[in-house]
This record gives sequence, structure tokens and C-alpha cells, in this order.
Amino acid sequence: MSVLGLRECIVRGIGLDCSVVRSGKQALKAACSRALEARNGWRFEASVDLDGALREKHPNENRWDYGLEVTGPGGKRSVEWVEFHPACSGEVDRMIKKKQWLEAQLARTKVCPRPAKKNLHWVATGGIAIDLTRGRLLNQAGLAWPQKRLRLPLP
Amino acid sequence: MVTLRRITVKNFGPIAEADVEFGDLTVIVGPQAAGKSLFLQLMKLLVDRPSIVHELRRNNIHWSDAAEFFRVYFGEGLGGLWTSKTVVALNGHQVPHSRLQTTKGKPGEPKVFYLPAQRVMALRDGITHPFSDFRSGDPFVVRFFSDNIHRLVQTEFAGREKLFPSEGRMNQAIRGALAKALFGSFELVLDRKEAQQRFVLRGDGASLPFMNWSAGQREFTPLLLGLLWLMPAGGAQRRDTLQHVVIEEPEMGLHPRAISAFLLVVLELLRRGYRVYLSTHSPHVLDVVWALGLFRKHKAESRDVRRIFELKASPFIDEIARTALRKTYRTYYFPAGERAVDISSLDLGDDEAAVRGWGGLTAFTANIGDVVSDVVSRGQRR
Repeated sequence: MSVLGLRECIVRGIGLDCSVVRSGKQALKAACSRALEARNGWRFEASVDLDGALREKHPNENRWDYGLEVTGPGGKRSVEWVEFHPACSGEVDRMIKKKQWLEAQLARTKVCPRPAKKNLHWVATGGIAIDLTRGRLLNQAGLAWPQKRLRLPLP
Repeated sequence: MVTLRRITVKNFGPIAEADVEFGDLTVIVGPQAAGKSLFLQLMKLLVDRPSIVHELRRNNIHWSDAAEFFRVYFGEGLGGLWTSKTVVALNGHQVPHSRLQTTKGKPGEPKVFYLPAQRVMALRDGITHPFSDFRSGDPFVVRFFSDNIHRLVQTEFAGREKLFPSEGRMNQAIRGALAKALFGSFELVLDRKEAQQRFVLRGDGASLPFMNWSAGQREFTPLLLGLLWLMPAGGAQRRDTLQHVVIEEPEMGLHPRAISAFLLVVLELLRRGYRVYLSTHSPHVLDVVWALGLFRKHKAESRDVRRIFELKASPFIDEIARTALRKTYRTYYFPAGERAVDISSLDLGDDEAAVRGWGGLTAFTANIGDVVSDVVSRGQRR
């Protein structure tokens, strides 16, 4: 469970203006928002459209989509990083690059912890068609199998 | 063609319940002793009862009641498969067990060709064996399969030395793929020097008897003879009255490349108009079924099918590929002692574990992948 909140990661870590952080799931497109639920007792506190916020600065890079903060019982909180992307074999390499890009952004100031596997999520837009070899490559890069829907945070 | 759309079974041996709707290719997966083979043998019995009864009577095998008939048909120790709680329906119509073992009716011709998992027994010591060479407790499907390839060798291959690869029954592209994957530079020949003719693999100046073949060659050669039986010489698309082909665990002893070559043969059987039924423990088989299902859904082209098998374009291969894109594919998971599950979508993102885990075939690999990604992620964060 990340102790640092999304706002600190975005402002102090990545160096973006705090205005990009929206309340709840408001930074997400409607279709993306529908694919995410909060676990019982948890709620979405804040969200940021990283892809949109950094498009001008990193136009040709494999940018990650969203960051979200969920808060739960006893003041627990977790920062989740979610990418909505077609889940087919040919996109595994791109997803690994996206993960590397996100980690590089978060590592710039050493304020944000490197995200754990359970906080990095690939949500499939459409069906999932990844062969075993590419699936292994994905696992080898520290990423989990894509999901069609997510209930956050993961248990 | 005999209509075989659906079989429903309850409380039959280890099968608690199965409601199976067949496609042009139907694949059954599941752990050992889950009833896959019994289900497929039951399917043959439901379709071919008249010819089975005729064949047993022709071999002077008699029975006094249903239990004895089931022991004769399914094999020793399996006479009690059908209990008072068993329900079997073909295309929605319940079939009483008394109807299956009756000797009344016309003899009929078999519609289902069955390549059993024990097919290597049909070629033990490199020699083919007629029906009567087996014990009375051996399953009918093993005895009948053995008898078929015995007749093939005794009649249609009589006087021939080289049996495979040779022209006349299989298209060169398929023949070549099988020969390369299974036999390398060797040829399958009938050695008639001994008193009893026997199969040997000949090549590179050597003649290898059955016992010196690789495990895959021993397993595959009876299967190959079965396939040659299904592809008669002279241009006929199908053999006699046969319409359905059951092949149990085709992957036994085979390298993935050989499994791919075999699956190309399955597509050729579909092109010839056979309906094919496989039981398997191979994720590689489901890989191809998964791909073909998605190809149909996304309107793939014949070149996409060719790419799976790494084949060059030719009119014959393109016809196989086009036909494959028109066929229907169904996959069922038979868990031991539980209700069988329709996993035909093979959707890797499905909510149901049996579907996304391909009936347990990919679960072990997926679990390893999960653990590896955990370890990598943990290591990267240190």
C-alpha cells in the first residue's frame, strides 16, 4: 500500500501542476471509468490523466494513461496506475515500454516509490488475445495479465 | 449425414453431467479419469449401434444383458457404467439403455471412425492385428480400430513396400509436413522378409524395427495409418459411410511441430467433410482452435491460417484455409465428477476460470507467470 498520495506523486514527484489532479474518477473518460470499481469500503479519491497532461512534453513516447488514488477503512490509501489498451500479443512490447516510461517519470525526483505489480494495471479495450510466449514476456517485465474490469485496490 | 447435434449425459461413470453441442471440430479437455474417453465412446455407440452389434456378433461375441454388453463394448470393469440414475439423450431425445444393446435392426455401416488413445496396441511389435487378436475385455474401439488398419495393410497396401510418404492419398503439402515432423529422412515401409510382415522405418542405410522407433513415432504411426484409411486412394473425399472422426490425445509423444503438422491434417479432414472430435491435454491444440475461433469472428483471410502453419500459398492449402474459416469450433471442459463446462470462447479475459484457463490446460503456466511477475516486480523495487 503506497503511503504517498496521488497529489504528492504528481506535483512533487513528476512536477505537474496540481490542477491536473481531479476529484474521484473525473479525469477518466466515461468508458474507462465504467471499467473501474472500488472494493467494498473503498472509494476513488482522485485521478489524473497522465497521458493528456504530458502529451505535449512527451509527444512521441509511450505514455501511461491514468493515476488514481483510492482510500479505504482506517485511512488506508493506495495509488493505482491504470492503462487502457488493446490486449493482443503485438501490444505487449508497447505495454512494457509504457511501464518503463511511467517508472522513469516517477523516478525523476525519487519522491514517488516505484509502483508494485499490484498497483500497475492493464485494462483490455476489447478482447484479450495474447499468446503464451508474449504472456511470459509480460510477466518477465513485472506486469500482470490484462483484465477487462478492475476492482481496486486488489486484495 | 447422421445428425449429431447434441448429446446430454447425466450420471454416467465419472461424468456428473455434460450437455455437449458439437461443432465441425469439437475438442474435449479435462483431467485424467474425467470421462472424456467414455463420453466419446458413448457418442460412437449412440450413432453406430447397429454396426457395432453386427461386428460383435460377426466375431461370435454374445451378451445376455445390458451390463454385459457395456462390459463388452467399453471394456473389462466398465459394465456398471450405466446405472438407474443415468440419463442419456441424443439431439434432445432420451435413449433407454435397452435400445443400445439390442440385436434387433439392420446391421448398418459405421459412421464414426474412432482412433483410440491405446492405438499403439494396434501396432505392437510393428505388426497389425485383427479384431480377434485382442482379449474379450479390451475396449471395442481399440479392437475395431486395429481391425481397420489391419485390413488396410492386408488389402489396399498389399504388395506395396513403401507406405509413407507416398503419393495417392494425401496432398503433397500435408504429406511433406508430416514426413518432416515425424520421420525426418526415414520412410515407413512394410518389411516382408520375415514370415510375418512388419513395419520398419528405413533410411540412412538403416532399417529400424518398432522397438527402436522414438516414442512419438510409435504413437503416431497407428494414427497415420488411421488417417490414410480416412483418405482413400482414387480421389474419394471420404471413406465409405464414415462421417465423424474421433481422435483421442493426438499429441501423445509429439513435439509441438509435429502437433502442428497433425492439426493441419485435422483441417484437411474438415475440408473433406468429416466432422472431427478430439480429446487432448495439449495447450498447443487449443492454441490453434483459439486462433481459428478468433479468425472467424474477425473475418480473417486464408493467408492468416497459412501463417499459423508457416505454409506457402498454393491452391490446395488456400482451400483448406478457406474451409477452416467457415467451420464451427466447440470446446468443452470435463472436470472429474462435476458438470462439464462449455469453454468454446477460450476467452483469456473471461470471468469464468475454466474458460480463461482453457479447462486447466494453461492454469499451471499462468500461475508460474504470476509468481515470476511478482518476483520481478519485487526485485525491481529494491
